[in-house]
Amino acid sequence: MRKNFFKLSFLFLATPMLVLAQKGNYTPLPLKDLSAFENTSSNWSVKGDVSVLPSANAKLKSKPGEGILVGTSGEAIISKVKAKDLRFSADFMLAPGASGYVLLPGGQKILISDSYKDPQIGTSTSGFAGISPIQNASKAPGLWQNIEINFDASLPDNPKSSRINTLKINDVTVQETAYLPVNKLLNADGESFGFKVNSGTMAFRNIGYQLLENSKPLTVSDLKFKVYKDSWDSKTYEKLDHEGTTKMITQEVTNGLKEFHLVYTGAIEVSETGEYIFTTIYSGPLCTLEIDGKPVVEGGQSTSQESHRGNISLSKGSHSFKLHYARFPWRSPALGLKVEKAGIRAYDLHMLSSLPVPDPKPYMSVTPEMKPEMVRSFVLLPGEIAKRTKCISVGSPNGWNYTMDLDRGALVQAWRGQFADVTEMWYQRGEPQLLYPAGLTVPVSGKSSFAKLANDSTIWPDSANVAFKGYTLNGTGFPAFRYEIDNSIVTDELVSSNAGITRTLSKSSGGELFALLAEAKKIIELEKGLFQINDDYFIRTDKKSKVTIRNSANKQELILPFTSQISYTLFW
Amino acid sequence: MKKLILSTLASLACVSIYAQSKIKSEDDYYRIVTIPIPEEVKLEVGGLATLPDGRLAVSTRRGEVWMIGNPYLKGNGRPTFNRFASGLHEPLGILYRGKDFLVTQRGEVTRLEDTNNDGVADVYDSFAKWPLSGNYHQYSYGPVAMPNGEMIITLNLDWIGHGASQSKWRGWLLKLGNDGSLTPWATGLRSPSGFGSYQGDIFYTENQGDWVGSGRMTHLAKGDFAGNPAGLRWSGEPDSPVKLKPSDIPDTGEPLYDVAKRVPGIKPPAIWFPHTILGISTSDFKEDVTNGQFGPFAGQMFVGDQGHSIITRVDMEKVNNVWQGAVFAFKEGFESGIIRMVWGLDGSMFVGQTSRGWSATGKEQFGVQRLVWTGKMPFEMKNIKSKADGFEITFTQPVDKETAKDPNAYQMNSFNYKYHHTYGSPIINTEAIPLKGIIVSEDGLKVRLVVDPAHLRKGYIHEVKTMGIKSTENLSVLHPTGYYTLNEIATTDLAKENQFTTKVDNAKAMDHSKHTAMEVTTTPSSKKRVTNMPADWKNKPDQVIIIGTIPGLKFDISEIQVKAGSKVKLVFNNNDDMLHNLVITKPGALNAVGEAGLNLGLKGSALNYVPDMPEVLFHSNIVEPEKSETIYFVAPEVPGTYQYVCTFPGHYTLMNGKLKVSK
Repeated sequence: MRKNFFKLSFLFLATPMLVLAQKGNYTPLPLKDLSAFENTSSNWSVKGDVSVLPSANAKLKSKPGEGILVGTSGEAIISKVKAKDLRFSADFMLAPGASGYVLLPGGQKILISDSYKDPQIGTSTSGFAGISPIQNASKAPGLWQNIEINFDASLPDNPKSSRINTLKINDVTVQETAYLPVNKLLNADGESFGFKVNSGTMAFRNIGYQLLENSKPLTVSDLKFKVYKDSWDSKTYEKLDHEGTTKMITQEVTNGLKEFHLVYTGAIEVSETGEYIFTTIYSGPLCTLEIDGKPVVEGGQSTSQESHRGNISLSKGSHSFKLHYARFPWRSPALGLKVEKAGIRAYDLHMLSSLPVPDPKPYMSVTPEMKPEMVRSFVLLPGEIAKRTKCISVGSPNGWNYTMDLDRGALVQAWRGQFADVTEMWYQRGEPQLLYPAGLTVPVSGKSSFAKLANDSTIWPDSANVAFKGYTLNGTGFPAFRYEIDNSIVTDELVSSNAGITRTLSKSSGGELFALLAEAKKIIELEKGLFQINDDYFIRTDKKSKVTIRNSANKQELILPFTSQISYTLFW
Repeated sequence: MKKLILSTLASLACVSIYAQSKIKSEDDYYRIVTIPIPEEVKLEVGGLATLPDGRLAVSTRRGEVWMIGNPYLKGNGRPTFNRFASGLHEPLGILYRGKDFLVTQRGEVTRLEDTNNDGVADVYDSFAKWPLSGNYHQYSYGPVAMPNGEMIITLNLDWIGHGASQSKWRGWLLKLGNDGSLTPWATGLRSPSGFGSYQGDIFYTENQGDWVGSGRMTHLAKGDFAGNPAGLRWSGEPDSPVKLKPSDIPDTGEPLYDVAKRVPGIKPPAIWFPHTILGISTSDFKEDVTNGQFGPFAGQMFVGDQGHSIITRVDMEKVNNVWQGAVFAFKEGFESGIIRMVWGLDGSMFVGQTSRGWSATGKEQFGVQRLVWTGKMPFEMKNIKSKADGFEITFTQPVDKETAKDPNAYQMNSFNYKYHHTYGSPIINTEAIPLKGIIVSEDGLKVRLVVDPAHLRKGYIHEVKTMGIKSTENLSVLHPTGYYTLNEIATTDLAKENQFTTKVDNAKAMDHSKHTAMEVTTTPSSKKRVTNMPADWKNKPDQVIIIGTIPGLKFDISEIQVKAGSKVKLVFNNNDDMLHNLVITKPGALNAVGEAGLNLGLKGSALNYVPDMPEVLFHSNIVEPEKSETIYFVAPEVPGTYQYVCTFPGHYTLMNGKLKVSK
């Protein structure tokens, strides 16, 4: 029921990195009209706004305008831009039942389809590329999704193959280092990329690409370093230990000092004006990069498993920079600085040995098979500083999973796909004691899900006066949690089916409470009892229930009076 | 010809030693039976409970509770495994209560019940809870039931480079009421994984760490403070029975007992477990309540050790109303790190084990074994009792009086540890104790060792060796060393010279103890450990090597390359939370050096566990957690694969690497 297997790539395990990395540096494909495409046929058009309900046979509605490419089954549409190696990103929305391809230079294609309910991963799951995706990361029709591709159309030392370096759907890695056979030689000038719809209607927006080259339009020179022996957590540094010069950036000049602040200064020579993205990877309490006196990348505590990015527009010519790094005395030092630019592969500005590759870790997971599995753990939510220490995550065999914060009676995250990455709990000493969702995660409010409010305009408390009492397992193994609030016992039961997670809150006594169904930037009532929460998920309630969308500081909340029993379903 | 005879004699001697040691093996008296665990079950034991129906309940690090049927391996010899509960956060204790179980998760005691009798718990009630900081070191243990039915739990300190109590009652032992209420009882605890009753009193065991010079077992009366000040953060709470404040605790490095004399409220331990000699991380313990089913030690205690995979034996007595006594080696060779011990229905002992990322002498990651008495009587010191002028040893079998009256059959030393914020302690204030007289009892079961009372030091660990004693059946004492923690000196009659079986001529006797007495040598820079760069290097080593440690008994580099004859600066960073050194050995000498380090005994700590032997080329001293040491050496002229190793006892088999010297 539990599977451990070795996965040599540490990148895949670095969940925080997925969060930190920003989508960047793509050249947008203009979508004012179809002029960016060759020989367009009538099944493609450009629209201003599209929407579709997530119910069977719903039709995609559109408004005139620009920015969204809409296609139906028929001929493919291909770009005028010719590419070889390519980075690609696009948002897409599917009508129910739609299916089609992203076409890559050289003839490779990646399937995107309305597959969020697929019980098995296979040839019809989004991300299929001749090789099945690692997992099903599709969202329901009607939600904007994202596909991000890092693709090498030709491999100099392996001419019969092309390679998907990474393929992410909705920020979940579904292919990694997948070699695909090449049947014909790539045109020397590159080839088009494009889209093809096999069935239904599909919409695309924010289509961006990078044509990758190996040139290095930015170099560092005149490197001087100073090593200060102030303590690692000191905010300032003044005790100079030694100084010198090097050809490349490396932390090895610190000669094994346990505590130091390393400061590099020098010149950055830029041969092409443009927007540059710098990435730091390091182990230590801090690492900051300043260019021409302006902070570009600033990072706090880090352990080589995350990367920190920042961008700056640089004109051709010479610029000054300063790099400040301190290590944790109890961990080996590691410092890396990379640079990239639209159309240019990221390359190192540090010496290879300055950034040792962390040891591979075995990937440890929990996978429900016949019945739900539960794991109690600490959880660190994106954007939060303190761990939530009394959390239980519940994974179901049908792949709908969630985490409850038992201290608050709060549903804090929900995801679909693989259940739990527990490497940081059970590998060696498990110092973080953190569980990470292993599938497509949607942010749910971290606040208590139910509370006593004076009236429906009272501000929702972060943590209501809730006492966790325990849970019982029902016949199918799903837990029903019990909380005491306002002298009554609330039972909170979440059961999943292929249609999503259905949550039922009930109580037999006490006065009226309120339930917080969702909190998001944008909540839209699509039809009676159906709400879209950002582009993240849907909530379906009883058509008769008195749901209110209300505004709260920069956000919207979906609340519902709760007297004896309420029920709603989340899906995406 | 002469050579031939010598070697023949030598081999004869070997044969006779072999024959004798075969008779003396621990396995002749106690056998370890390994319970086979299905491959897919990761039974990293946290808690263990025997059920009256014969099953064994095991809670695990991965949050599961397993029911093992037929753990006694009767019939077809196969146990059954059934998962009773899951989804718990590292339950480190399980208590069976008839119709239900209590398990302690990190932040909660949870009540588990199987209401529909399908063999799987369906009720998980929150029985008692407390806040958590999110630090991994916040382990929570228990509940343990006392004979009077009361329940107790303990809460481990956080680890943030030192022990800390980042949320309420960390570092405390608390009573747990049947209504789920928590009542603080005592603090000063650091890593209290083992606790429970001895004759109805509450005891707990402690692991070496900050403020803890060596493993120890302390009696906790209400309001006691056992030594680590982190938990005192909460002594100002209205329900705290402890009155000391963190600022009351001096950090002088004197022995804890001496500090406790000045600072009332500090509780000296009843038993010290000399670090690396009798374990490195004391864990669970059990009082022998088997009425002899487990052998001749009824009423004594057995104490597990996680790092060394051993069980020691403790006999205690109350002198002037203070608990104290002696610890002896008992049984080694368990498969993983020992964390839990419970009595089986037949008086055998189930031993639950896990290494949990810290590594143990037993190389398995986890396991459950059963320790069974073979019915044979080992020849052992059954107990040691305090006397006004020394100690009285009772043996399990009559001694051979000829050997027992020989002063050379014995050795006595006393020593102590520092009480300070630093992690661990060297052995300090060692003294050899000269014998004045020996009184062997008529029945041959007792030997009284009489010394000048001035040589008895309160609060010190008194090492009593009986290596020369034979039984009337010509057996040597199986474990000939006991360590008696002398808090109080019994007020008995002084022995008179006319009672002596042997009167010891001290001048002569000292002769013998001289070469075994432990000089506490500070080890300054030596030829093998040069800590300042030689002046003639002109500030220019040929090569700088930076090597660190990582958790799980490992160096962070497994191979170092150096040029023969080059000047090497080696920076050794200890990033782990345990003590380590780095010793460079001649090719192929790793095991010999590691074993010699292990066998240094009491001397080890003063020598930084570096044995004095030609196979050792260069070394660092013991480096504390998060500290560093730099040594300078000239690489050997002869190319080859040399080795580097941590010789801290118990580490060398895992913690080593290759030093490749090339032309």
